[in-house]
Amino acid sequence: MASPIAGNENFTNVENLVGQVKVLDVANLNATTLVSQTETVNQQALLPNVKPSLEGLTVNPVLGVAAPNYLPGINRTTYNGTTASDVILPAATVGTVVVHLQTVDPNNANAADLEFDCAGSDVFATGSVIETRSGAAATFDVSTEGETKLIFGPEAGGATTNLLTAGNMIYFWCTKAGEWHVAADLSTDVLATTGTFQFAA
Amino acid sequence: MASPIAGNESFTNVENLTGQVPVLDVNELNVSNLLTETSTVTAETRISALKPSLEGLTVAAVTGSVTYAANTISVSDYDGSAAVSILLPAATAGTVVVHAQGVDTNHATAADLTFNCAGTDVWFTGSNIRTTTGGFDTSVADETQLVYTPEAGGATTNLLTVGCKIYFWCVSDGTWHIAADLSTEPAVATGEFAFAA
Repeated sequence: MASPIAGNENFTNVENLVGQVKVLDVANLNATTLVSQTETVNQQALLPNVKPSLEGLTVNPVLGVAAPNYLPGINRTTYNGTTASDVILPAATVGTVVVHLQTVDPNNANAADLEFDCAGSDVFATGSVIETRSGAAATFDVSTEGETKLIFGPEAGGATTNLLTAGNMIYFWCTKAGEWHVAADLSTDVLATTGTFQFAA
Repeated sequence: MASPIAGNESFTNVENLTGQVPVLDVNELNVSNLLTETSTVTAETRISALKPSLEGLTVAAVTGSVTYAANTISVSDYDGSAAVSILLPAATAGTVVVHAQGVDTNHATAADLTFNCAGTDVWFTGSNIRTTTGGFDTSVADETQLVYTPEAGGATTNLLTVGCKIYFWCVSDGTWHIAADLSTEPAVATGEFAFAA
């Protein structure tokens, strides 16, 4: 038999070969078989379209409001809309999870913004989706290519009806260097009819 | 050279060989590089027991009884004033459908919202959905409908309200998995979900 590594362009023996690899059945590789076959995968799996759990994350010290440099793990903030908060995310490296925990209601009358900025040349994955409000109804903003900011604007005047409130979390996780995936657990209160999220460049 | 597939016990050439595989570097295979190396896995990963995120889905505003589009967040204006019957697209592996509740379901009429599977599609047996009476309803074999009934009389205490979402995703043709982000407000005490045939 000709060596299968002589050329890369016609690798017809790969089906036979991968069938011999004991740990992973590469020939039938998909997320379901992968996860069920390997404990390592079970422990380390970060999937681009599945929000990670909080397991194993460090709960970081509370940082300042103005321009905190978030760390991998769970970051708590006292941002409440009184003054703007310009959060800087850590570098997007594969396997990193960053969680923003909103500890208080952002109901100060100043209605200053909360902004998340990617570091360096990092970006949000194109097609990331964040819930927002428009005319008291739920809607969504979708990121476009190259966007690096996520901005929350609470309702002015001290409203207690914002979709971001105490206990809510925003998740950022990385499965490809330089790119953040985003998801959020926001308010499901019937009165949560104000506040806006949007991606920006 | 001896054939590297002649035996499995001394597969010394695998390091060279796998380095030639353009899509997957099997020798260094782990979740991180797997997901970065293969766009197929990245784009198509769906796990039966894990609710997918919203990334990559299209957003569309919908009104009344319509057929939902695949891989789309359909933002519905259903409010209980009139019955709404939603037809899901065909359940094909990799498809995600999200119902996003645009407004509260507090109209006094309290008309139902019904989701219907298409063709011979069914809910995955054992799917659970939260409801007010009994905590959860669990689907049995061959059920094809999911019916939501708000409280009559204009109650603002229903578990389906503005910002809530119901997720349908498919990892095996013909079967939908279901999950929901329903209200966790303390005052929520009404509204019923039920699977049906």
